[in-house]
Amino acid sequence: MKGLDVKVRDLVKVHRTGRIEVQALRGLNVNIKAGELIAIIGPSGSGKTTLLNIVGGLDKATAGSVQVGDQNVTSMSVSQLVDYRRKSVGHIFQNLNLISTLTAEENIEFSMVAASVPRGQRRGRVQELLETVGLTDRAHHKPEELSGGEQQRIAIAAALANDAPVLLADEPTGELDTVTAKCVVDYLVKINRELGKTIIMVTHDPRVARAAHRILRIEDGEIKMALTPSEVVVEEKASSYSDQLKARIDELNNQLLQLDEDFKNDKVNGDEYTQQRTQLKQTMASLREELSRMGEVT
Amino acid sequence: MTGQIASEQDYINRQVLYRVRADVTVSVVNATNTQVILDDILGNVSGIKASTIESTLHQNSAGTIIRTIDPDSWTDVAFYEDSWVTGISFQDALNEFRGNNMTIILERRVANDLDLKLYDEIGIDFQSGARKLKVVGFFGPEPTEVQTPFGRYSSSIQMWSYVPRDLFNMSSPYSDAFQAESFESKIMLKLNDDTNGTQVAESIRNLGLEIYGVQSFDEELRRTQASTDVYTYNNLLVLDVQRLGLIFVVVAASVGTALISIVSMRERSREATLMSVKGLSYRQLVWMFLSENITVVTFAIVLGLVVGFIIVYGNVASASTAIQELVERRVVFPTDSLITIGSFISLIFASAILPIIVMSRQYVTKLERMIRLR
Repeated sequence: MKGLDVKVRDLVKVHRTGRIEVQALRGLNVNIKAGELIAIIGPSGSGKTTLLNIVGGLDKATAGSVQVGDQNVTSMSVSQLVDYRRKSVGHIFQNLNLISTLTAEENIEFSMVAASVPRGQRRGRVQELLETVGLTDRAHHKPEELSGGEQQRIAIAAALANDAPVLLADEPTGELDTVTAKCVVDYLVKINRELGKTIIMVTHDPRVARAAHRILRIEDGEIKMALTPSEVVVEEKASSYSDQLKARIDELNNQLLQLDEDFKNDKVNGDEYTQQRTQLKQTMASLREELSRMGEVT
Repeated sequence: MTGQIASEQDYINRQVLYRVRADVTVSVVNATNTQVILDDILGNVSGIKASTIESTLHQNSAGTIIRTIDPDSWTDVAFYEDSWVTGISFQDALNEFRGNNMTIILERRVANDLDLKLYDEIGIDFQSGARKLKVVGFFGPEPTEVQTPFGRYSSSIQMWSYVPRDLFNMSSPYSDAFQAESFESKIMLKLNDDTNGTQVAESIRNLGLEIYGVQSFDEELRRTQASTDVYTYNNLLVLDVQRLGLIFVVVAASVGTALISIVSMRERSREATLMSVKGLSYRQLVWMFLSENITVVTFAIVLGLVVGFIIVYGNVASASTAIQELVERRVVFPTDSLITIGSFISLIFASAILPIIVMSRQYVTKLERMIRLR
């Protein structure tokens, strides 16, 4: 199925934790045409992931509307959202993508099982998708036996399994080195071109964002700027890649401090704290590794 | 453990029934008056479903106690177990009684001593004359070989033999045959299901009849349960401890199952979240976890039931071989113990299922939060 239009109108999202309210989106508006590849960039906490989660039917908006094709996502019931996630959108996350107990082909097949697609049809579709992402020979491998790039390609194939017209990618290259990240982005571009899917991609990496038709910059829960890929090049020149990595590491450091603070104030429990801290530490380690490959010392 | 308790309770009940011999038993002073006393009881006491007279004769040449019974009414009233008669079924032996008065269900010990087989004849001298009786069954357990420091010997306990009541023309208490013998007679009563045995026994006592005493199952069971004799007391104490243990085990099993289920669900939260994102509905998610967990729980329960049954069977078998007696322990699962077992199984299933239902709902409804945490 070809891509669908995505229309976001006056979208507001307020996160509530106890008595504390955080306004993640403040009346955000955006129009994305069918078959467009959009990159969303912006600082941490600006509302990128929140926007993606609402468009993807994972979270409820506080106010406003999201229209995907002729479906109003914001007014859907829980069961309608399940159906919407099955048929209309495919999700690709930074690290939560594959079920560790299933093989690559089973991971791709899973969403078709959920949608009750007949077995014969599923098998054929899995082969087709494995060929699309160039991993036919890795079909029977478990996620832990695949490299980061291969895992993301399998995740892309899994997101396409039910022929969803819209793909939502949240930092799909966040934990990958530059070479692998480029490979994954190339596959997204290929799918956008060849299959005509609408792709919305959240990223911190301007080089990844440059692959999109349009780049939207979110700040404080609003779209502040719409750039073309060439405009990002100018921005990138202004700040080098290594500077951006350093900025990202600083940002992660701030997130770590905030997390420690939240834990002290009982806003997060022990399990959540440990998980989030480990994840942030791992991301920082991979960014530092990337910097050291570039000859930079942190 | 439920089976163990039920089997032990069954053993105690049957022991009491064995002692009393029927729902209510009346020991008569003068055997000649037995029928008259029975008529008095039937005329004045309500709640009696059936009655029979059993008379005991000690003096005979065979060295066995002989009990006379009416094969038609005795089976409806008296407590007996089919396994007490060997060589033939109890019912077939009683059928032989109906067709031929010159028959005997001979005490196993005597039959072994005299090397008598089924349908052999035995001559017995009674006060009223000698009679040749056909052996139509053997009563009592097989003697057991006992090893002592002084060698092996055959051990058997004193039982009795049965003959048909008409052998001594017992329906005519003033007949020569009856008068020549020295009978001790008992009236045995079967009560209606809703009749209180204690009240019936008390009513009979109040009639002022010429009797030695009245025993009822209800009174005897209560007396046994309040008994202070060491053996009975220990048995009852063990039962109480087992009941307490059973409650503890079931609570522990349920809590344990629930905790394992919760931990398992928490460990799989990442998987469940991802599955929901990929379009698995709440129902599909619950069904998936249930089909996995319930298989394990079912297997554990079946294994527990099988092992439990083997243990109960082993305990009962070892207790039965240790003591030679007419009423042996047996494995029973009466309705109430089946209901108990069913309730416990349901509780354990509920402990496994509830966390799945609750936590799956949480994963599906708080999808965004789960994604954020990962």
